[in-house]
Amino acid sequence: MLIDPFVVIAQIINFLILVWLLKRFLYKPITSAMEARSQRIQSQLATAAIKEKDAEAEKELYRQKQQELEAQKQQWLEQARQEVATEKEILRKQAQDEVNQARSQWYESFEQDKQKFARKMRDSLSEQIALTARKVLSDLANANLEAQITETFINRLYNLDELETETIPTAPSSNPNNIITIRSSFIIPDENRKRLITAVAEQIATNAEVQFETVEDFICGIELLYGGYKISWNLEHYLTELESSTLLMVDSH
Amino acid sequence: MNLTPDQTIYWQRGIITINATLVFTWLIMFLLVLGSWLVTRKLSPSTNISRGQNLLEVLVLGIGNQIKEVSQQEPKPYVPFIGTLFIFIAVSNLLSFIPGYQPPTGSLSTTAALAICVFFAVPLYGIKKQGLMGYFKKYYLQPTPFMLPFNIIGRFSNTISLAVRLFGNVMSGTMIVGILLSIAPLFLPIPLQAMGLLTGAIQAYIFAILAMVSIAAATTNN
Repeated sequence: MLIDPFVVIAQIINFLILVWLLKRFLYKPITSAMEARSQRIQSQLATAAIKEKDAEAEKELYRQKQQELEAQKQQWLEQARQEVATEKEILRKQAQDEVNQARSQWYESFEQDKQKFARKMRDSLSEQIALTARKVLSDLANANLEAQITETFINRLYNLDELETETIPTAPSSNPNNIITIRSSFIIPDENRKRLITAVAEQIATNAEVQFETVEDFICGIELLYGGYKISWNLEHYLTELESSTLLMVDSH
Repeated sequence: MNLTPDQTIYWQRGIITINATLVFTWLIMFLLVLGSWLVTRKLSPSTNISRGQNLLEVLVLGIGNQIKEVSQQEPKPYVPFIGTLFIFIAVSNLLSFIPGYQPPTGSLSTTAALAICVFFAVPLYGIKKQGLMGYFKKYYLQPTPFMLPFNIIGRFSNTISLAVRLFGNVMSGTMIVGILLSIAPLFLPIPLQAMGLLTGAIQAYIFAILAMVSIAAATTNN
C-alpha cells in the first residue's frame, strides 16, 4: 500500500515539530534581526533628520550673521568713506589756508624787500648822483653842487609862476615874528645866504626874518617854508620818480 | 526497485515502522535546524551581516513577499507554516542528487501528511481571521448554500490533488532516473537529474503557493 497511516501521522508530527523548530531558530530570530536593523536605520534616519534640521537652523543662523556682518561692513565702509572725505576736505582747506598764508607772507616779504631795495637804491643813487653831480659841476664849471643848488633855488624864487606870485606873498605868516625858514641838506655859505635873503625880501616878504636850518634827512636840496607854502628844489623829487619807475619795472617782471 | 521510500524499512515493531521516509525526514529536519541555529546564534542587527544571515534573510523575505503577493495580506502569521512547507519540500527534492538519498516527498505518506496539514490549516486560519460563522459562510455556502456538497468535495479534492501532484512528480523523477541508470548508466541520467532539481524546486513552490491560495481564500472576503 502506498500510504502508511503510521508514517502519515509521524510525518504530520514531524512537520509540526519542524514548523515549531524553524519558527524558533529561523523565522523569529531573522525577523527580529531585520526589525532591529530596520528600527536602527529608522532611528539613524530620524537622528540624521534632526541633525539636518539643526544644521539647517545653524546654517540659517550663520547666513543671517553673515548678512548682518556684511551690512555692518558696508556701514563701516560708508562711515570710513565719509570720515576720509571729511578729513580730506579739512586737510585740503588747511593746506589751502597754509598756502594762502605762505603766499601772503611771501608777498608781504616781497613787498618789504621791494620797498627796502627801492629805498636803498634811492639812497644809494642819490648819494651817487650827488657825488657825480658835484664832481661834474666842479670839473666843468668850477662850482660845487651845493652852490649850484642854491643858485637854482634862487632862480626858482625869482621865477615863481603867476599863481605862486599872487598867493604866497599874501599868505599869513605861520608865526608871530614873521619868520621864514630855509632848510637845506648842507650848510649854505654866507654869500649865498645874503642872496637868498635878498631874493626872499624881493619876491615874498620884505620884512620877514629868514632863518637857516640844516636838516640831515634831506637827501640833497633846499626848501623854503612860509605861511603854509613850501618852495623847494630837492633831488628827492627826481629820486622818487626814479623809484616809481624802478618799482614799475620790478612789478612788470 | 522501491516505488516509495516507505518500502525501505530499517526497523519495525507492530505498526511502528522506521523507514527511509522517516529517517530522511529527520535528517532534513536536523540539517535545517542545525543550519538555522548556526546562522541565527550570532545574528547582527547592523548593516554588516554574514553570508548565512544574508541568505536566510533573503529566503524569509522572499517567502514573505510571495505570501503578500498571493494573499494581499500581512505575511507574518503565514510565514512559519508556508515557509516550512516550501523549505522542507525544496530541500527534500534538491538533495535527491546525493547517491543513496531517497526524498521523503517521494512518499505518498509524506505528501498526504503535508496535504492534511494544509487541509486543517485552512479552516484554522480562516476561523481565526473571520470567525467560525464567517468562515463557513464564506468558504462553504458560496455562491449558494446548495453548493455546500460540491464545496466540501472541492476541499477534499484540493487536498488529494496537492498530495498526489507532489508525490507523482517526485516519484516519477526518481523512477525515471532509476530506470535510466539501469539502461544507460553513464551520462543520460545527468540532464534528467538536473531537470529533476528544477522540477523539485518548482514543485515546492507550487505546493506552497497552492496552500497559500487556499488559506488566502479562507481568510479574505474577496
